[in-house]
Amino acid sequence: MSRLVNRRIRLLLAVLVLAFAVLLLRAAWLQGVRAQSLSRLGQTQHREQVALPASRGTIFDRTGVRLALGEQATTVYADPMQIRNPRRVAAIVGQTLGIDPRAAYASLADRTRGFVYLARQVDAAQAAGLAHRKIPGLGFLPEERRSYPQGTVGAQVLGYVGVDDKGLAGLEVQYDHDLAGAAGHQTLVKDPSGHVIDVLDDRPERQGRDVTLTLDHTIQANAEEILRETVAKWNAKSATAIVLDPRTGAVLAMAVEPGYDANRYPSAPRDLQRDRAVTDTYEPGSTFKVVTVAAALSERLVSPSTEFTLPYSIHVADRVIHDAEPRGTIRFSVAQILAHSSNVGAITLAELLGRDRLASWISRFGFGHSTGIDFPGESPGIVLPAAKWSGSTIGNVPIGQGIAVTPVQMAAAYAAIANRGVWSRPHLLDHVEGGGRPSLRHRRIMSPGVASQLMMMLKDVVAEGTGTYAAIPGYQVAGKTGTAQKPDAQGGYANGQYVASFVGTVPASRPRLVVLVAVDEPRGAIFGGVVAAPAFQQIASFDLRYLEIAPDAPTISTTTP
Amino acid sequence: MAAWTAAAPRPERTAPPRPRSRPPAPKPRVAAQRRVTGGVVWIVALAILLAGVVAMNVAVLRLNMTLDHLGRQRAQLRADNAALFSHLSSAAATGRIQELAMKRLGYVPATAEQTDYIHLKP
Repeated sequence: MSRLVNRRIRLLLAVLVLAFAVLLLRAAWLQGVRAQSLSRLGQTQHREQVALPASRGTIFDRTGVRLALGEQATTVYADPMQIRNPRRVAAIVGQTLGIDPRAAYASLADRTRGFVYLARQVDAAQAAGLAHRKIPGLGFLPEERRSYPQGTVGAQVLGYVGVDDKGLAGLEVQYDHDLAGAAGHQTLVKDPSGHVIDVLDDRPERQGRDVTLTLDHTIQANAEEILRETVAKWNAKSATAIVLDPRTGAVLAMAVEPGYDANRYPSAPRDLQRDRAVTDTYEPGSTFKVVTVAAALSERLVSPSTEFTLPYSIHVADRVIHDAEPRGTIRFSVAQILAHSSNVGAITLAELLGRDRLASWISRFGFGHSTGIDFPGESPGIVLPAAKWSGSTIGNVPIGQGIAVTPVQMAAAYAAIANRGVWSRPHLLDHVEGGGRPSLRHRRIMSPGVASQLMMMLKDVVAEGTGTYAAIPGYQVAGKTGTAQKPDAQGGYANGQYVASFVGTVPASRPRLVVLVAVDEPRGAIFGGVVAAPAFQQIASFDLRYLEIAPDAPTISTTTP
Repeated sequence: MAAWTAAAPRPERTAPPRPRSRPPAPKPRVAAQRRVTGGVVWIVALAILLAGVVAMNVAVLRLNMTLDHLGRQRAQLRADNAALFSHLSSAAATGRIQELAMKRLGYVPATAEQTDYIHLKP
């Protein structure tokens, strides 16, 4: 009996030993031979590489108001191979996200692809509603969507960012390197339920840096509103306005109408997307006469009181040029030539200067060269080199025809006069977060004495000349009107097509603002003094009150305690 | 013949104490007990250490999960902030404020003639 029991015990022991031997062999097989492959498989199941997108920097105006910032959005994608009922899913997606279900169906029905975008950067709340339905095959990726809360304000200046968060136009592309930042990445270990239990590798993202501009959103919005009214009133093609500080070259406003909502950049007509103040040229007309007069004064050929006997018209080579208003022969001083915008007077001064000196002064004022403003696509303008001037060029260029300039070049030239002869490079950037202010570029282009003489003459333009509609009660205004024919494609001038402009500085005794207004193809009236000067007056009046710049003329009551 | 007479009882003599024989040396049993006790102590100490390691790992895992949760909260807060900043910027738009001031309060921009300036001496 006991022998039987012992045998059974030995048998049981043998079975157990055998079982454990099998388990031991299995363990050795898994942990030895299959170790590497199983480890790799485990890592793919539990580890996940996650990209950490960098937030794009915010663009502020000079008062700290956000003009462009990133908002949370969600990109919805799908794996068509996992979508069982593409038609039904497309209907749900279309209804939830507000997109065309037919376009969604076309993507979802394509079984040859494993990844398709359904909607990029949609509202996060809407996407969350779709995610709640837990439709197999749909995926959701958090992304940042660029938002321009003020809509149309400064749209052409700010530019736009594409779906990949890269600047495509305007300041968004100019300062893309600072705004963009750098993405980071993490290697996460997750438990079976998807919770992160460990972070193996972590390179943090570098957030984009904020950019503060010299623009003032209030001055910008006001300029855009007044341009809209001007374009509507004169049924014009477009209008441009620039407001800048002559002391520093800081651009307070750069408005172009018609404008568009910056949030709808892709659907805005290409024609409207350009910042015409920087990229487009126009023939300046009489506003350019200040260059001719400045040159003649600086070369000490004349003084403001030097008089000339001026007939109504003048022969230059094979051309006859006359003044805008019919008149008889008259004696005008240099100051009066500018105040009454005499073409004959300006050409007379140019002939005194000669081709080479006039060309030199044109270059000195910055025409024919980029100003260097921090905006992409700046045009240097079109200035014929002196060696290529024909005999009649001396009859065109001094009065602002036969030469093409950008509004920002013209504004900078007048700013130099207002700034006692020192030209300052116009700029839009105030500073980048964490960085200092960019250095300002200045260069003297005329003596303070000549600048002062020019300011006196420009005040006369507004006080008694062609620019009376630019007058602002309580302030001394110095400025110049311009009415220039537009060239046609054949090399001549288009009939009935003009650019009406006015450039002025205020208060003239201690200039704080230079304002340029240029109206393209106004109808009903064409003169700068009638079309552009009133717009200047409205823009400048508002800006003076907004910036609390005290009057410098005795008509407004001031109290000194 | 001598007679023995009953004599006074002899004082009892107690036998001198026999020297105690030493018990046999208990070496094998006590030593074994001591080894067992020491082993138990080691096992308990190791168990406490292992339990501590496990507890620490669990704590680290919990911290990681908490960090992940906080990271999500931070991302959500940033998103909420961005939405609020966007709303604030829209509300600060000059055109909107002017329109509201005009419609609700009847305000119009002051003209230059309506504005007085006071020069303050330094």
